[in-house]
Amino acid sequence: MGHDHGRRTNRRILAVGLAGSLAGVTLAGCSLPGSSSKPATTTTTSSNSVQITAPLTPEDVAKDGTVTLSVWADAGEEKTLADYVPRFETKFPNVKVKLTVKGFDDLVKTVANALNSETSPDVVQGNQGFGVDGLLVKARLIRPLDDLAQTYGWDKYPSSAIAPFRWNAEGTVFGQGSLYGISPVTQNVGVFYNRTLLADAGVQPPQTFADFEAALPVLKKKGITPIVIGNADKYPGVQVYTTIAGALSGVQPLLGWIGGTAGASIDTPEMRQAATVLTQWAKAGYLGEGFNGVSADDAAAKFAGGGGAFYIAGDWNIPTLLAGGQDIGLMAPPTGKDAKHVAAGSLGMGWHISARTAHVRAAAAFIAGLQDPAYAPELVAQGRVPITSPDIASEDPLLADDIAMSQKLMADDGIVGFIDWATDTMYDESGDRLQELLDGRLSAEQFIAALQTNWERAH
Amino acid sequence: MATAKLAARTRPPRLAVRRRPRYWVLAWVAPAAVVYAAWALYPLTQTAWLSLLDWDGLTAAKFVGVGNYVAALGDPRILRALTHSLVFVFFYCLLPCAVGLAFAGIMTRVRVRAGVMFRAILFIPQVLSTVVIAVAWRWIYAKDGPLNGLLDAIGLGRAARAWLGDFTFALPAVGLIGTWVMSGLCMVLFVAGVQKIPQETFEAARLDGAGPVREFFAITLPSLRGELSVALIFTVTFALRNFDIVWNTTTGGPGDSTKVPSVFIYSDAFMTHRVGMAAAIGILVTILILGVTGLIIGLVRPREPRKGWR
Repeated sequence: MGHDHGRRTNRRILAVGLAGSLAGVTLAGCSLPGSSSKPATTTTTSSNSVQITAPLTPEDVAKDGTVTLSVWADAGEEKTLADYVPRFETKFPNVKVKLTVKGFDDLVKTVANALNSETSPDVVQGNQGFGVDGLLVKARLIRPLDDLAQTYGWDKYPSSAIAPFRWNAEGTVFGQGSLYGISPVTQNVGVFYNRTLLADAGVQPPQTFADFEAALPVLKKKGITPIVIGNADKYPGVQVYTTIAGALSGVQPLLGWIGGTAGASIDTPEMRQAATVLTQWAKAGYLGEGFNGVSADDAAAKFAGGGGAFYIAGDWNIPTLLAGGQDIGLMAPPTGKDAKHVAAGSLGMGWHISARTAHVRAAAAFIAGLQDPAYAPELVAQGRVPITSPDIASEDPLLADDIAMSQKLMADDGIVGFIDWATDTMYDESGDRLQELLDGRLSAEQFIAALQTNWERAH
Repeated sequence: MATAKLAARTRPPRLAVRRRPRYWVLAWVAPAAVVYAAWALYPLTQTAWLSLLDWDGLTAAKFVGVGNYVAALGDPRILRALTHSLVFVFFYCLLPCAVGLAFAGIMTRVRVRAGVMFRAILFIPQVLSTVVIAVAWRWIYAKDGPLNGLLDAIGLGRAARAWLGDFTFALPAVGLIGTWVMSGLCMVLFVAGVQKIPQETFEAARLDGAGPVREFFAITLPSLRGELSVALIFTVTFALRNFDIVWNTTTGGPGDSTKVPSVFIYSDAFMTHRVGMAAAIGILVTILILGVTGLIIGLVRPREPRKGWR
């Protein structure tokens, strides 16, 4: 009896719950989300249609009265902005910057919703590719910067460098179209090398890809791990693959494929060959052991401590690498096809102006100040590699290497972006499949086919 | 006579009292009910609604009916992820319950000194943040971590590997973390349950000549039905909605080898902006958990309502 009673009660509660749920569904079902939010054009204030046709002076910006400029930035910008914001506020005394700094993961996941809210920030950093920037363009949350590009000469930057910030109006293809973002710095994947270990093995820093490949068995014989890699986080291996593919194949098809150019395909002999080369390196033990289980941070620490001769990785690892006290150099990926340097890389995370901002002038002045060639030495002082001033130099040897790498890549127009930009699921697809390739579970053909299939589904 | 009997059976005085409506009870229920409705039922219905849409979280949504469900159930990656979840049910649920029961069985025979301290230590993984747990185990499983050090020391150095980067061993390695986390909870629950069984019951069984095994199956296990169903529900839910430990140890890798449905929920919702698909997978996992939980309640529920000495 007690049981029946309990059951009946349960059933009743269940029924009430279900009814409540259904009511909730009907209530929530009144409108489709997203459809109620007005398109950006109707929320555009008069000041948003402001076009910038001449470099902004403090007097121009002062016309807007007292302005609080809300800026969302990546944690990687914190040091730079600590230096820049006070300078900016001194130059434009009517503007007060309200800075929100977020870690990368947090920023890329929240920036779209923040821009879509009533309290949208005025200036934000996005991230290249379909996951963030594409969505911001598609939802018309950020303003094209073509007027600024013309006024400040950003359109004179190397075309491959700013291509990832150019989008079609639908946010479905990048590489051409209006410019939606800009950054004064680069972040490229190069080849770090340990001078002491190379000298021990009698190996010169390789200038060509053939030299690089020839150095690997020599190092291995000496008992030195030729290439340090930690691929648990998936992206490091993809960057190594991109480096090999760039040497064997040049900027194409990577550049067009990553940007979503119609009909692009990486199913070419060179791209397959690059995958084969990588598996051969893995089999020959050039990548060390257990690399699929080593985190990117641990690999950086290992190389910093003298745990291997080469480390193919982004220049953003420099602070970690300096901590190890080894004699480390950095070079652009060795030249391959057409004797050119090709690298995975891009400008820094782009600066965007919200389509809803009421302070276009202040926002534009904020970004233009960062892009100002006169500010480039300060960027170098912060350990960054500006593209805004061609003959910049640094006394720090590793940063000087980094600047030299950036200049070589710019000169060769050899920056292809990052493979994971190609589709919104490519980060996982390329990372997962590359782990399988390195483990011998996929052939080079299957690896390429999987990535191409993913690309064709999305384009 | 028959009518009298029937009347007596259907209307015992106790029940009559119980059935009188007491609306003031609602006042007691209301605070919890409001919180539950606002933080559980409302989001759940919201999720159910979103699962019927094709929506990127920003631009206009499109109603697609059960399209997301069809796509999710037709996706071999998600089905494979479900099989990984079943492996986790073994490691997060069955294994810890078995360990806990075995321990409880031993406790009926052997008095463990400093039992409180012992239990506190075993319970620590329950208190720790799963991120802390994941970071600690990543270190244990690392190529040059203590596990491989131990293998080396006992002459099994050839078996050493980067456990979380190995296609064969990553899944059981992550599973064993769950075993470690959940075993403490199961033990504490079962040991507490065992202590409620009167000592005389065991003495009577022993007088009747029951050995430890017989005693376990005849007395300990049946007495622990209530605790067992709680432990199973907790651990099975943890296994099926497992995300944080997987994400913080392997992010689903290497390859797809440790991906579970919640990894897809996360990446669809936050990385690729397929809100509807994420919601649909979430609802499917919810249904699965409710189904399994219902099954457990049906199978392990105590036979008699609790009363008397219990």
